[in-house]
Amino acid sequence: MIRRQSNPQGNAWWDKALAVTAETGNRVVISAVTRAAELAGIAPGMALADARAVLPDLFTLPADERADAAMMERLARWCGAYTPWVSLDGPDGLWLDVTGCAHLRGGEEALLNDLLERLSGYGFSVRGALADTPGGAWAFARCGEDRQVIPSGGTRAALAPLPVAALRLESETLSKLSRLGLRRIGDLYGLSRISLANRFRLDVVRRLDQALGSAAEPITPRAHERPYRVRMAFPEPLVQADDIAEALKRLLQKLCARLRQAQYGCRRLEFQCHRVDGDTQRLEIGTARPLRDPKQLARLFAEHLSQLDAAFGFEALVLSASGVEPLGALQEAIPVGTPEGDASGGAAGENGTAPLIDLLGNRLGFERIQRLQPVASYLPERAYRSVSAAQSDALSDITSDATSDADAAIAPHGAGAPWPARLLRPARLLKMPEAVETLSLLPPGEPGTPPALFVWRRVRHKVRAAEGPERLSPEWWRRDPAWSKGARDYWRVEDEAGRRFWLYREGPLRSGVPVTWFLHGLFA
Amino acid sequence: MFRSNAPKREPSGAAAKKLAALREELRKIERSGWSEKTGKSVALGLSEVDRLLSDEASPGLRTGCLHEFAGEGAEAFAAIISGRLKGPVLWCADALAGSELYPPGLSAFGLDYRRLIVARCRKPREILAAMEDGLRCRALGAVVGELSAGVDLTASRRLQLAAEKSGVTGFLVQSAWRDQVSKAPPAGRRKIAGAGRSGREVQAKAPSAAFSRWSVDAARNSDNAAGTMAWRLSLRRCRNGGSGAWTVKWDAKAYRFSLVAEAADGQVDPPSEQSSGQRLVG
Repeated sequence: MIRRQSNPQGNAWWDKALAVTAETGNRVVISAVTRAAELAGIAPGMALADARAVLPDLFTLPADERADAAMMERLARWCGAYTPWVSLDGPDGLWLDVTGCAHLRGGEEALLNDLLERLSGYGFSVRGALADTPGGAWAFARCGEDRQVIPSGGTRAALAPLPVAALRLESETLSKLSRLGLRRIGDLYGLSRISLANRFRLDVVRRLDQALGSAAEPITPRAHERPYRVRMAFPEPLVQADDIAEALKRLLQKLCARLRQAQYGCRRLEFQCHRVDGDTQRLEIGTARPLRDPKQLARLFAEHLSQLDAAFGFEALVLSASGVEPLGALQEAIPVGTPEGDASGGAAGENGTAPLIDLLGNRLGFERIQRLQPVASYLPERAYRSVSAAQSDALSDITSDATSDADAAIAPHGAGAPWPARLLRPARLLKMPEAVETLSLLPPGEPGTPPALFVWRRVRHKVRAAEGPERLSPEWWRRDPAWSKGARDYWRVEDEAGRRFWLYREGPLRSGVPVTWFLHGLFA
Repeated sequence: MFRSNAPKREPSGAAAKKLAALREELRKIERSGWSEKTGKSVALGLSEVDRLLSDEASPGLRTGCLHEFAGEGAEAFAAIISGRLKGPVLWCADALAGSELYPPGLSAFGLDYRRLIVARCRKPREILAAMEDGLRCRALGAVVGELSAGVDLTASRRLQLAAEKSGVTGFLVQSAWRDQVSKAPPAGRRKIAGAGRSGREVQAKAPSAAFSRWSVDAARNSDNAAGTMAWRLSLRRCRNGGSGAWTVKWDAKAYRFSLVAEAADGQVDPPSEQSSGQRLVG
């Protein structure tokens, strides 16, 4: 039986009066306390208000049941060092079936001492007992002396002085028993089983039988969790790139077979190559969605294998999936219509573009493979944003309903676009607006109209026609240095050759101040 | 100005038979018989051009092939045709160019932003590699690569083969804009692009394995109405031997091309009386 409080500050919490609180209904109740708090008179089950009355400077923490459960899970795994047969018992207990394991630790007593000492060394307050039956061990661990090893066959006698609460009974049953004056387990021994069953249903009889071993109470061990890691060692070090690729292929097959069985797919894979001189080289790949096809994974690795420096060779290769996610069973694609047997395209429909995104993402970096998202803003540079394609699946709805066989009436795909169609926007936007040299032929009385001639990158463009202005104001709720001069007037300008530009002028017009024009976009 | 609208002279008798046999031979030499299997096309909506590009069965620009566009309207043209194809579009963009793709503008060409996957590459090699991978992915509808210079025969052959195998259509886009916008010094640029910036000059003389090669140059827009764009479309090279030049308008509301009647001097409608000055449309 284990109880451990989370550690608020350093290691000094043990000396402090500390309590963990849990909310039940609308009451806040103490669920666990440190020894210092216990000595001060705080006990689990007290209302927080009462506890504060006893000890005003009581330090409290809210209970975190999920963290507790995760901790118990880790402890259970740790206990695997003593016996493979470990099971969780409620939120705060562990059962270890040490049948046949005790001699490995020098006997039952030594085993129990070793286990409890190590655990208290880690900062747990822990109690334990060893008995013939799970029920008996439960009773001795919680209600008997600490570290009791009940000799085989001595359970009945040893249980007799313990309170009936040691039988894992409900509180209602317990209070009924105490009303009848049955306080110790020994008191129940003399009673007839029929009358016990009549009065208390089968609970008491069953629990008593379980504690004494006359009714079976099997323990289900936790499922053994193996990390998704495969390893291959070589008597002769591997040097050739082909050999390494082949070894990786086999490792991938092994790993993927295991993943398939568990219905998992990996999101991140690490390939560790241990060199004979002690150096370790690592390659890592990521995937856009859970994947367990050895061929596809091998292709993702293929581009990076050349980075490995084998020097005197690798003696061991380890492949581990550091991120796995559930992936249901997949139907193998039947290669139809691919006479070349090319695996890359066989299962296009289901997989879609994900393998491509994986491939490009691992080569160029996942942040460079992007999908586009509209943003509600009139400012040209903020009208959309790019998101990593690996993290977005905005495409799923659109791929299916894409229209157009060549002859079909061409549907306006752009009609669904969130940008208003009446606002004509260029096909390309300059990352930074560039100032253009202008030569306004107009008299200064008409400021604000686009120049009749401008020079951009040493090329003169004579303006033939212009449309505008379209005024765009900065968003006042943002600080954007690019828009600090105020509103911009955008013009669509066409030059003599028919090239179309998007020019703007910013800020208020003042007489005498020459107007600077900027080029921001290029229409096709 | 040249046009290929002249009727083809039909050979007769034995000559026709021999020609047919030779064509058959050529078809066999061509790998994997793509013309039968992936012989689909996407129509431009201009019957004259469509018929020239392909046979009667499916007129239009052939899918599952590589096409090269150059000129100011190259991106727009690629976007329009990608928009008409099915499936997502991989756009291999040059991350180091001075300007970038602008999705709100693309919607005027009928290319939905949701269909775009943008790969921001830093080197021409990365763009070509990404294009090849994209062309192997059957889930895609089209792959567009922005390049500032022409590609060599090996690269275009690889891309063409990948496209043939998967049926995905590839577009190599050499925009005159990007050429001008990129940070390359003018001298270096001239080496690639020549002195001018029109598409036919941007396109290098180097051989290419692309199915067709176009230049899409800016053309004057006669009516100057908002939302109407015009290009001088010239088919420089095509595997079935056609070539021609047309001036087309793009209607961004109906998502449709229309042919512009050409005046004798090749200009779009004669310039209006205001053309030398400015026309201001509020």
